[in-house]
Amino acid sequence: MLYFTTLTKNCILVTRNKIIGINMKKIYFSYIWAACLLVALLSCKKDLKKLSLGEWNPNLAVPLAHSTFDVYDIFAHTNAEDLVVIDPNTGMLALVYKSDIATLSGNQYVSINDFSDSKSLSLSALGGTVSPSFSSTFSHSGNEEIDFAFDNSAQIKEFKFDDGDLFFNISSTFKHPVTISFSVPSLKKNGVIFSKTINVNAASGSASTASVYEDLAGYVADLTLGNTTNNKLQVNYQITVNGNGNPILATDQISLDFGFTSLKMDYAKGFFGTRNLVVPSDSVLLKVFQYSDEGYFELVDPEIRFYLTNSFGLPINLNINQIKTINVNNGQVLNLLGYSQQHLLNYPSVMGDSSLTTIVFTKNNTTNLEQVVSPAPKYVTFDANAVANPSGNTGVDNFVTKNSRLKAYCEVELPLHGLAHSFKLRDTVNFSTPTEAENLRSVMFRLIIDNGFPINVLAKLRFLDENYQEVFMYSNDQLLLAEAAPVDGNGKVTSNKKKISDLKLSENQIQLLDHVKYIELQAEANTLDFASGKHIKIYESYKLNLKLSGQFEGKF
Amino acid sequence: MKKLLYIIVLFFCCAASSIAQQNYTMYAMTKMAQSHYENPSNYANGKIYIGIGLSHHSIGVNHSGFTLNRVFVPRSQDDTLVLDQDRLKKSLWGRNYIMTDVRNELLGIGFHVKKNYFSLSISNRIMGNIVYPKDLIILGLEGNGRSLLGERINLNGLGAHIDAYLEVALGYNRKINEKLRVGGRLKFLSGYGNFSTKKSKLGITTDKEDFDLTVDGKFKFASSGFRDFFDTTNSGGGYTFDPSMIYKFKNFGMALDLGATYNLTDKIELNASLLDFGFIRWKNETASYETDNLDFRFEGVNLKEYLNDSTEYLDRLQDSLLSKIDKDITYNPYTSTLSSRFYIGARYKVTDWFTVGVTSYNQIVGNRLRMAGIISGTIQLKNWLGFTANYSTYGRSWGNIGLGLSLRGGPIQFYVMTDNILAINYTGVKNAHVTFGLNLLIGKLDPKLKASKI
Repeated sequence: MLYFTTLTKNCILVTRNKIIGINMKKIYFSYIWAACLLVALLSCKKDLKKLSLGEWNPNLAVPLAHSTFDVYDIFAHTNAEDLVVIDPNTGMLALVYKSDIATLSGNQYVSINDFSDSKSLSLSALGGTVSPSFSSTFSHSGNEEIDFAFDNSAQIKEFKFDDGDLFFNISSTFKHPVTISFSVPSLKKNGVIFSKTINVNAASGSASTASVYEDLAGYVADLTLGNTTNNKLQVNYQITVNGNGNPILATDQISLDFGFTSLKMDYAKGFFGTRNLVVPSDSVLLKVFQYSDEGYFELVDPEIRFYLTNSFGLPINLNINQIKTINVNNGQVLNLLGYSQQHLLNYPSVMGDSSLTTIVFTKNNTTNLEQVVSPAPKYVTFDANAVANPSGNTGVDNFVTKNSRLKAYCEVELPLHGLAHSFKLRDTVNFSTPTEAENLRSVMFRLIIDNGFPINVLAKLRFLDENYQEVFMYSNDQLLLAEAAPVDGNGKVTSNKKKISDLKLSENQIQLLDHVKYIELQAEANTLDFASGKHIKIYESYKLNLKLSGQFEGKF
Repeated sequence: MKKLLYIIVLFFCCAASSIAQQNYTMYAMTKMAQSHYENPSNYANGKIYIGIGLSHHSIGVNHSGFTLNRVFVPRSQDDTLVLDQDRLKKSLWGRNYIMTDVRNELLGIGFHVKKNYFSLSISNRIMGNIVYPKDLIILGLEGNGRSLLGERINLNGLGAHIDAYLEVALGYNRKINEKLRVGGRLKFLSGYGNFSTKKSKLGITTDKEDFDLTVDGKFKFASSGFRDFFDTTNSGGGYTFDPSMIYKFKNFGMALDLGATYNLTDKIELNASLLDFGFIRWKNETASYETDNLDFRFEGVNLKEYLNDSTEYLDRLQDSLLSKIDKDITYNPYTSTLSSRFYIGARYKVTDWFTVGVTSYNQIVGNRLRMAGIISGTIQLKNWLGFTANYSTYGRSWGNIGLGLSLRGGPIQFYVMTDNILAINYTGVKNAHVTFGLNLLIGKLDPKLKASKI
């Protein structure tokens, strides 16, 4: 009858003895409940009043992470272009770190200064005479020579304007209309000589003025005045006074103001002078050593290459004062020695072209290149300067355009061929204690590395508090996490090597996890049999398969 | 003799590895009107039988897995009983069952017309079977990291079968001759709840070396009346339906019971019955779900993709995993079959008032045959007292003692019975069952009409 009671109270909706609805879910549960209650009623026996489920220690084994890492993931994870196949036939690789170390542009190299001048022409200078009523005309012609100032005593023969203005301002006290014509025979645009005519109205009370501006973009200026000089232009003008019956006074005059402003170069030809070019110091980051504390590398045939692309039409001498490697962790600095410092750069003979100069430093043209990259340096730095027209004016015109560039680009090539040991990496990752840690009896992480690289990896794990102080170290000994794959006589891997590492945290260590905020991984990599001097090679086909799993035992 | 012993042992072994639907005791109480439900060739021991409301109520619970005293053991330092996980694991079979059976007779009428017996009954019936594999319990107890590591966690069969319906039965039996009486019941069913696990073949394998998890198999169920469990847009929490759906037979089904009693000699009677052979067509509030054939391996997070974009990657991973199982619920009609049962038995008349019997009970659950074996002794003193006791093996339980008592005073007949009186000491049993009722019997039955001489 128990379940009937349940039905009546909970499941069947009754109003005045009439069933109006049935909650099906409650019906099902009522019967289940009734069945359970039947058992429970029977369960009211004394000997079962103290039931305990005892200790429950479920053990869960779960996969956590997996991945397959290729050479690009391992050696060039930030930029795949850092890794280059240097032997297409075998797939052998090199790390090539690149950096633009200097750029000089044409606008920086040649700059033209603004120019302006003014001139007042009296009645007599204009060839006129005082008259109470003047109805005829008289004219005056003249010219002005402009000497542009260029930096570094440059002798410019031809200059094309990319931008700028040429202006003329005229002021006249004549009570007669005045016509002024300007022309610059050496200033042409599309072969047409620059010329302008300006009409100035008759003055009435005060001086009458007029102005004209010309956009210089596209004008080419011949600054030789007929192959006689450099940097100069001549402006011609003619002034005509057109009488209108008004008087001409002795004090009447005409003032001319003209100038070149806001000038920008499109190109320039001539001799730009002998001058030092500033090449700022720069460096190349060797990313493979970026996070390393220390290590020893013995690389076969490393190279440092400079690529200098020059579109300046003039000889430039590059002086590489210093090349050095810097290990920022221990302060060790090693200078490259025995290399040639002076390098005359190639330059184009045709405007718009560029020439490439390649400077390569190898173990053959240096004395210690292999040694300077041995201690895992973080940077290779350079200090250089350049001299333009180092031999002075040789009679061959220089040219520079607004697009001219001298770009210095450096590559440091580290072939992955050789040996390495004690290459230590350190990294810290944030850690937060699992909320259920107090219910964990033990934790075991299983790391399975199927290694296709001829490199052993050992590691230590330090668990740190918020002040980076050690809470506990997982193991005092280094753990071999990845075992180097075997290689043949040429240093090439013949088969993968699998290593299973079980990292077990004890119950005590788990309790300490509450204080842990960071985990520091200290890893050390060594190439296979480095102690015996075995050289290994890294090929594009190498892969490393990683599996991380966990086994967690609870305590409830 | 050895052969006979072998047969007996085999019989009980088969029975012991089964679970069963209860009411064997009723089967032996042939003078009860409700024994007609267990064998339609039986009949009420009065000219007219009427039962309203209190005439027959039965509830049984059966668990094939373990008994409490088997898995809870005293702790040495005090009297606390502690779960012994090893014992629990040893107590379980590969596939374990929890079964419930409820029957409430709302109306029962029976009457004799010469050699014929007619009956009408309206009953509410709920039957539920929950199947759980042993590996599921082991997984819960010890996780997948111990004995299940490297093994397939066998979840085949995990599921449930629940039927809830109103049964309107028209019964008829007839004494064919002095030896044989046959009967049948035609039942019209109106379902109001069903959950059927149609396919359940699931497994999870944890790779011994890298702990990768591989899920395989397929799962399918159909249901009626449970739609709000699966309808995520339903925020009402349980739906209330119009009870008229029951008498309108919106989920219509039919079933047949057949039975026969044959007097082999004056002292030996053979009997058999087939029960609940039928189906229900479920159309109302249906919801069905079926996975694809599952075969996927979870290897953990792909580190490279995770480091590239953790949020996007985890979203994609979640979508990928859910796509394996997140299939749309369908709402099509379907048909479920009832869990058919059949008895085969024999009785021997020791004296006029005492008989002994042996019975085999069989039930088809899903596609599996469940068996039970019963030996019984029954005392019938005139018409006023009936008493039966039986020993049965079922539900992988060897020792079940069933008792039944019926008392008649005038037209009132009261009865109470259980298939396992030992369930009072619940700690050592797997089955609990009780049936009781109050019948109104009018008139005395002509002895010539009785089918059995026993």
